[in-house]
Amino acid sequence: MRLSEVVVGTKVKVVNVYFPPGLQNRIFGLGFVPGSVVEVVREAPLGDPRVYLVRGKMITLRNDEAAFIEVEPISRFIPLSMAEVGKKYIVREFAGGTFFLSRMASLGIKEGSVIQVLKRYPIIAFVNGKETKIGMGMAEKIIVEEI
Amino acid sequence: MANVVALVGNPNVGKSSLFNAITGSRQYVANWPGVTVSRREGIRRWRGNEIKFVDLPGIYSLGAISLDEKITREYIMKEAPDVVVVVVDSLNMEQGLYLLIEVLEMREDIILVVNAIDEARKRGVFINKYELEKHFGVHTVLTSAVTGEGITELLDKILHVLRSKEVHSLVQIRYSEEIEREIRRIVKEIEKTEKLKSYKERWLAVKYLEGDEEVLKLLKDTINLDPMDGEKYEHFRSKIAKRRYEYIDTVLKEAVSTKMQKMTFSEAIDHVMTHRFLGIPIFLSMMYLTFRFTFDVMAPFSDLIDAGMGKLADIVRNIAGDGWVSSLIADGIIGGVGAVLVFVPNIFGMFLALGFLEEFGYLPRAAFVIDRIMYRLKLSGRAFMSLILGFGCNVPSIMSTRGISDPRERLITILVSPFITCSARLPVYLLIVGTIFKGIETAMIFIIYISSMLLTAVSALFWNRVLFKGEPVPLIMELPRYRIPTFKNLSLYVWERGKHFLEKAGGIILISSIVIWFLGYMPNHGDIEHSYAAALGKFLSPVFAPLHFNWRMVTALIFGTAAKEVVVSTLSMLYGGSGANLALGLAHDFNIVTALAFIFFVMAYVPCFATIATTASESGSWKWAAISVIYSLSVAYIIALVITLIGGMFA
Repeated sequence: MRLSEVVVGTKVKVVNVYFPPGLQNRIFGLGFVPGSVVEVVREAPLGDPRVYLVRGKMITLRNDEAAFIEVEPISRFIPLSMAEVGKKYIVREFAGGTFFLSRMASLGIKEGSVIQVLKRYPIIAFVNGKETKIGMGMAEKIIVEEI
Repeated sequence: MANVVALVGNPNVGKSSLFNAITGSRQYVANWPGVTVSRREGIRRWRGNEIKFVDLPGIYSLGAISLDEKITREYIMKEAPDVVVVVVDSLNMEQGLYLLIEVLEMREDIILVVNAIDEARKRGVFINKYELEKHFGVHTVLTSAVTGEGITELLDKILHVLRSKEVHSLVQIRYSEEIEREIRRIVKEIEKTEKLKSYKERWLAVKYLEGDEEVLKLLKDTINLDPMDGEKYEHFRSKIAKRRYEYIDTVLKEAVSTKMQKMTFSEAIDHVMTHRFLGIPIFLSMMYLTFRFTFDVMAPFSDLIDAGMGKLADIVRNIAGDGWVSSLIADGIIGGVGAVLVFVPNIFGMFLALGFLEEFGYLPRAAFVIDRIMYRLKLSGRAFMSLILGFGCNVPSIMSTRGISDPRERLITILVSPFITCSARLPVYLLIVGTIFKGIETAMIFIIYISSMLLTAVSALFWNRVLFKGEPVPLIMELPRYRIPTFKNLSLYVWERGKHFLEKAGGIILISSIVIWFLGYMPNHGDIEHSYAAALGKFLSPVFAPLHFNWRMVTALIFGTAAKEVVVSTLSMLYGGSGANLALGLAHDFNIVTALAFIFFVMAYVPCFATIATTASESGSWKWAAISVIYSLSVAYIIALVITLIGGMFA
């Protein structure tokens, strides 16, 4: 998963950094090295750039740049938007308002439902015995745990 | 022989404050990364010794990519200072210690300074310096540039290191066996070569494995190494960086104990300042408030100076009578310089407002909030920070582009920054707006400033199209902690910048006032209509006829190339003195359309001499300076022409 795809408020761990050689030194110097924990703090108006907390410093990166950094979730509980293709997840929590909850109900997704991700952007998932399309915005609000 | 001590560290860790505390110099310290555009030097006498301190630009790594990194690295390598002091922030040591490790690989005689220790203590962070000394093998001092704590100890430690010939047992990090094997192999090769004796072998080897371009080139020319492919370098680089931070993590676990929670104060403010929806409205309000403060709050002081200058001129006329001496002093010097001095309160007011925002730490946030827009212009928030400095003066604005790593972005920033309205142009706007647009002054000034930013933006886009294919550049920027502005720092900020304006008033503006007075007085003893100045203005008038500028305006514009304030002093002189005469004359000759055309012309046309010279030196060639002049002149003329034509349709 790319750092640019991580939802605001989540903490992830850096796996690899693919910056162009010239900038890589500075990115390393700033603390984005494999193993570092990064928190997505906030996003600018229009969603880009975003602020990351890494090793005690607040660093801004554009999404194009954050896409050079490969990360993995720390917690077993992740938003569905961060789920990997092919894996199975169990729905644990919903982080949305009434409209969102009723939408979930109409799709037949509830706490305890098992979801298998088939495709991403948007997410095509196998849930309740059929393929269901779930937009990335909505997927961010569905908290799942890998089985 | 002088003892030289270099200060190295991340941006915004208080290096400059420490430098000031040690050397007693009064260098303004800003709350945003990258303030030290080039190195600064200062002398401190200590216990009978003279020590020279050099403050180097803040950096995150010792690569040689951006100019800041190059300056720092070159200095450490080539100038070989006797002692290197690595400064880290007590609340956030990790990135600083990373830099320390890089310096440790490069040389000996290093002192680690943990600065802002008072802030750490306030937040319940305890730092054990003996642990740091043990794990890095360097002398460590806890300091606070604000309270002065630890400065004496630091100076003593520096003397100690300077005097002792002991070879300090520096701790070198051991990397993985795979990397160490490579290092041994390369070191063996290097040791055979006489030419590389001045370098530390291990450092060269590590940099070689990291794929550092300069070192690669150096080694390729001198020793025989099988080249590796790019992926291999990437692999090593990542492993090396990871290992360094792992080491730092283990050290900090032992050296720091904390009861600290998150940065609640900064967090809370940031939540509002960089809010998704409120961010941009807040940015615009901040700009608007700045101009309100500049204009409304400072207006009474300007009126006071204006009245004073008028009185002064009258007194001189009464004493000196009617001759040329009286005219030179009353009309030339007092009229010319006075007309500019009237705007001193406005300019100091603007610096006070801008200084507050900068001190507070708002400007990097502003850059963050509007980055999307900069991105469209293929520039970054970093360029925005350079451009914002241009509101004070274009010269430091252009100089600060040295921190921009991308040469293309740097050149474009240099070319467009003269369009940012500097403080010297403010008097011209204020004069015209104050006479022609009574009642809506603040709004007009606000519009002018916004237009100036738009013009800068459009120009950036233009140059990107013309010169390059328009690749966007990255935005990697640190948001520093918010800081409550101190009176000392703020007044220093205002004085440092405002002083420049006063010096200009006493220098180039005084001289040009006298020259202009002379050209206006000769050859017919005060008959301005038939003077040399009139002849010059009238000669060029036909060029400006489509813009409806009369010869007085043309003359003012010509002299204004020396410094933009001179436009005001020239107009004042040609219209018979500051105050009521000038206002009457202007009201007679300017209508709304010519006033607008004139203002926009002044906004865009030829940068002043100082800016042209800086453009040439920073871009490295007079070609770019010439292009800058021609471009701005054409833009100014076209805009003024369009305004005149559109205005003409409504008249």
